[in-house]
Amino acid sequence: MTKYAMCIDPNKCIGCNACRIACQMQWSLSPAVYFNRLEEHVEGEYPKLSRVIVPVQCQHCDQPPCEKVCPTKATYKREDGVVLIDSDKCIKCKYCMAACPYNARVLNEDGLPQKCSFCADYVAKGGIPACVSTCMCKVRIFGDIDDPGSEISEYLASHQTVRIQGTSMYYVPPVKMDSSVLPPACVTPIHVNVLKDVAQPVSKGILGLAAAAVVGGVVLNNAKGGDKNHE
Amino acid sequence: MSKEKNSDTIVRFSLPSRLGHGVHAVSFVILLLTGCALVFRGFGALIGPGGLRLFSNIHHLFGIIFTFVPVIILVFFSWKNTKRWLYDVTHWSKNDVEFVKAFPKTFFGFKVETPKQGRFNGGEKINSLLQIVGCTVIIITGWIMLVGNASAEVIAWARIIHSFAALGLGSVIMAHAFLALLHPGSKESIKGMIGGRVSRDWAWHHHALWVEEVESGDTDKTAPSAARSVIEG
Repeated sequence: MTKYAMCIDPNKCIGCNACRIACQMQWSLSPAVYFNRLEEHVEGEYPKLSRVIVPVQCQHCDQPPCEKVCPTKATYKREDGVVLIDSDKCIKCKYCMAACPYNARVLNEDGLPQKCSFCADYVAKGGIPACVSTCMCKVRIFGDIDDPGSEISEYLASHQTVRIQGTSMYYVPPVKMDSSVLPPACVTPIHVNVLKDVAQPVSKGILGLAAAAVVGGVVLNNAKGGDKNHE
Repeated sequence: MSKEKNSDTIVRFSLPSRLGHGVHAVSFVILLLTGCALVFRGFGALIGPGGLRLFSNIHHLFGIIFTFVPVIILVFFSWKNTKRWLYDVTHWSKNDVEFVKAFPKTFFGFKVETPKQGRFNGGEKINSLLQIVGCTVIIITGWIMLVGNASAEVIAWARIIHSFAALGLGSVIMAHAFLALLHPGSKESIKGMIGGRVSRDWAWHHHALWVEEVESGDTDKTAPSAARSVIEG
C-alpha cells in the first residue's frame, strides 16, 4: 500500500512564497487562485519579537468533511490518501468550501472549488510536488509513509514531528512558539454533521410520513367509497 | 346528488388570487423537485452532473419567480383579498380548533361532525400560516446562498434550514394537494382555485359561515366570518 503524506518544518520557512508560485505555475492558476498559503504568526514586543511562518494547504484528511457533504461524489479520497475533485462531476454547489476546516478550497474562474491535489498526476509518475521541489530551504518533505525507506519515513523516524490528527500532514513543532500555531486536528464542522446526520434524514422521514399518509388517505377514502361530500 | 344541482355555483377566488396561488404552487413544486436532487443522492445520481447543473439553473430561475411574482400579484393586484386572507388566517375561532381536532379523521375518510366553517377552515388556516412563515424562511435562506457573500458558516447553516424547511413544507403541500385533488370530500375545492367558482352545495357543507356571509352581502366588511363564529361557536 501507498500512503502519501507531507511533512512541513515551519522553522525553516522564510516566507518567500516560492511554493505558492511554483504550484500556480504547475497548475496554470491565475494570480488570485492558489492552493497553499503562508500564515505568519508574530509574538512578543519590539524589539524582542519572534516570528513563525506556517505553510497551510489541503491536509488530505482521513475522513474529509468536504467528501461527506459533496452531493455528487465529485470529491473523493483515493486509497493512497490523496483527496481529489472530479471536475466532470462537480456541480459547483460549494458545499465543500463551507465544510473544509482548513479553508483550503479556492474558486477558480469557472467557479470550480479547487485545492491542492498533492500533485497527484506527477506523483503517480514518480515526480514530487512543485511546492516541495521548489523550496530552497527544504521546508517540505513529501512521500509514501508506508514505505519505510522513503525520505519522509526516515525523516519522521529521526525527527520530532507532530501529526495533524485525522490528516495526511506532519509538522515539525515551532521552536519559538507554541504548537497551537499549527493547523488544528481535523474536526468535521458541526454544521456538516447536522446537515448530513440530522436535518436531511429527519426531513426525508417527514416527507416519507406525509407520502405514507397521502397513500393511506387515498386507500381509505376509496375503501369507504365514492363522493361523500356531505359527511 | 346530481350534477345539475352543482351548476348553482358561487365565486370562491378572484383571478389575481388564483394566479398568485398558481404561480406559487407551480414554482414550489418545480423548486422542490429540482432541490430534492441534491438531498436524495439516488435521484442526483440518476440525472447525473449535467442534469444537476441544469436543475441548479432551473432552481435559481424559479427561486426568483417564487420570491417575487406571487407577492407582486397579491399585493399590487389583489390587496383587498390578500388583506382579508391575512386577517382570516390569523384570527381563530373555536370552530377552527374543532375542525383541526377532527382533521386527522376526515383526512382518512372517517365520518366526523365538524362545526360550521368560515371562508377558510382551520386546516386551511394552518396551511396558509405554514406557507407564509415557511416560505419566508426558505426565501431568505435561499437568497443567502444564492448571493453567497455571507461567511461559509452562515451559508452552511442557511443550507441546513433551507433544506429542512423546504422538505417540511413539501410534506404539507403533498397533503394539501391530496385534499384538493383526490380527497372525495374536499376535491371540489380545486375548482375554486382553477375556475374560481365552486358549487354552492359543496360550499354550504364546507364553509357555511362564508356562504351565509356572501349571501347576506356583507363581504366587504373587515369583520370577517371568523369573528362571528367565535360568538356562534
